[in-house]
Amino acid sequence: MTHLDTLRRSGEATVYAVVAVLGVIAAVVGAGYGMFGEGGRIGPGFLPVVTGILTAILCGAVAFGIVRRAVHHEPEPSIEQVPDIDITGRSERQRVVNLWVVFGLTFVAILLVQLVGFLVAFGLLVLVVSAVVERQPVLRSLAITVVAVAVVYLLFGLFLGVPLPGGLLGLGTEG
Amino acid sequence: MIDNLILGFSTALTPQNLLWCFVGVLAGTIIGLLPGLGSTTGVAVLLPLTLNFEPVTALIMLAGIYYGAQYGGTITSVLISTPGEASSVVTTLDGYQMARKGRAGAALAIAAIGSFVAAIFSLIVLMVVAPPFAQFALKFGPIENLAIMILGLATIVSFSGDSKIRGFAMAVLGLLIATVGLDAATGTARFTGGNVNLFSGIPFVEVMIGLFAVGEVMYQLRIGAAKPIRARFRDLVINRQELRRSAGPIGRGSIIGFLLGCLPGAGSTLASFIAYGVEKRVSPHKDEFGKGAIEGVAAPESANNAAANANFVPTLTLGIPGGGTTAVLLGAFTIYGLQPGPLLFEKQPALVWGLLVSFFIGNVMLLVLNLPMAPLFAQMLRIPYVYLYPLILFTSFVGAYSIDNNMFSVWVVFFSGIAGYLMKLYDIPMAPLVLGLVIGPLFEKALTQTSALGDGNLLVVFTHLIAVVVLLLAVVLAAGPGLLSRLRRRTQPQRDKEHLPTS
Repeated sequence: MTHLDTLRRSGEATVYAVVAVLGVIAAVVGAGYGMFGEGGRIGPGFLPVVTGILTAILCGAVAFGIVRRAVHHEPEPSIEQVPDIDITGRSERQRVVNLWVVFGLTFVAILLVQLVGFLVAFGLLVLVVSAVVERQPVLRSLAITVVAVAVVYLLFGLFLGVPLPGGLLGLGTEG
Repeated sequence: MIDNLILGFSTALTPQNLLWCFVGVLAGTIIGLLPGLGSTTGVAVLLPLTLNFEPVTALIMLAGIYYGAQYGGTITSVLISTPGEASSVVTTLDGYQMARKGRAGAALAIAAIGSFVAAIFSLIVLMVVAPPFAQFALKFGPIENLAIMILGLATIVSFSGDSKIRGFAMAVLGLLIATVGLDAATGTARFTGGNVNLFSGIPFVEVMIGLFAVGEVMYQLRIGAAKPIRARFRDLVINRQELRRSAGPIGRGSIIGFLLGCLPGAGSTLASFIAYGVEKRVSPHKDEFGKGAIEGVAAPESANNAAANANFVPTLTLGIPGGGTTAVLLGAFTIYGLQPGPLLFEKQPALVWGLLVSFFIGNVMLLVLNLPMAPLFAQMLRIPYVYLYPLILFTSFVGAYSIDNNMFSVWVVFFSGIAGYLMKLYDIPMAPLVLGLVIGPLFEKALTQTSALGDGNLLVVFTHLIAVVVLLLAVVLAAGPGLLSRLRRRTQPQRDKEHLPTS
């Protein structure tokens, strides 16, 4: 088993284990809402408790199964093998970095909405991702960004009348 | 009947009604293409435009938006794994895989053909049996609805393949997430942490966009840039073998869709999931499911379109909306001074039959519009992914914002995107989670009502024949295949022994 496989297995087991723990927490909190009401009828806590317990049991069982297969060096059917180098010549490590950079940029774009408005914030996201992260020609990236912002403005802002926030710049469709 | 049809055609075939029907299906298709905007939002947003129209013209246009949006949602489900509505979620499973193999044109074409056949089938049934069917649907109270939803969940378990336990776990998790918000019966705030945005629950459309669209983008970034799909035009057109393979699934999907669509609530979504599950069970190409089986597109697409039309059964005959969009349409009826219900067919025959016939005309328009366009839509995949994915992110987030004009929706998409990425990475099934989330509130409502009907005793379910039959079906679906294969394994050595040479 490679180091990468070990990492993936532990990641998968961790995801299921975390969900199992969340199930337990939901069941405990849900019990506080009252499982049964008047005359033994179902109360607001019934479904959270039942589904919380089931989630904990099922996800716990899956996590346990993954760990057991890892200990016995059995293959994990759910893990897809991916090539180390893709068609653009990026290694897996570079791709992982890019992925979290895009997540981070999206997070920043959402935070920027209140400041510069929806269209500008997400227009900048498209531009930065195309030109910087993906290293595409700046002019082409700029052209794509302008077209994308214009289409979104026309379709959502004008045609559907969605009040897109304009931020401090006032470049939106609200009001 | 013939008189009614003639009346319907003479109403629907006026140049004005034809024009607005076309505008409706076109606008619906465009709206369906936008992530987050399904038929309900489309009809609600464009309803004010029709206020000056004749009622029949307005309803024809709004109905056009309804089924146009359904098809638009299918296009994005297939091309970029972004379902427009919960009922299109299951189409992404095989439709998107077909697209990755260069068969997007075939997937879109079979979706158009399946939807058309299902629409025509359900319309004929709708015209013939709408009133008696509505009476039968009235027999479905909370207990029967609870049984139907259990059947839906059992179907998920049955089609989760080798990972049944994972599918079941995700369906249950979906139900758990659906409990967030105010309890409908008592008004108790659950898991909200005092956040008012959570009082109405976790919005499933936003979760869907995050899981499928953003999650898929991030997963593609992780596994590495795929080559743009440069299929030849000829390869994008559906072939005869694919048509032959789809005939049965379309027929079965249409019947399942119509039957479940008559029930108020999550009929279309359940119908598409159950049709997929049934097909996976009966298809001779079971192994291809999840990897790009055309049956996996034909069946759910036929089912959700048949269900969309069948939604009109309770709407027109009883005045009970069959789903979210028909609830908005019901509102439109009242705006135009019409009262849906048993007397509508008698009092407004031109309107009712004109509307029903317009469904037929609208579906012909959709087929004519989309069949030749399918390979053209598929050409979108020729755009290098480095340009495509920032645009998918942009439209996903703006689409989510436009649902409630609220940044909360945008954050839900973002965090669901992270969850979706992890689920894709570890092959955790997403469709059961979405179904659990969608039917969760209805499931809890039916459960609470059943408990009230039985004075706290849930065994009251077994006193209702329809519910018992449905529950038996659920048990057969969930446990049957496992028991059968165990039985086969036991009898196999026996047979092998019997056939051993005796020498």
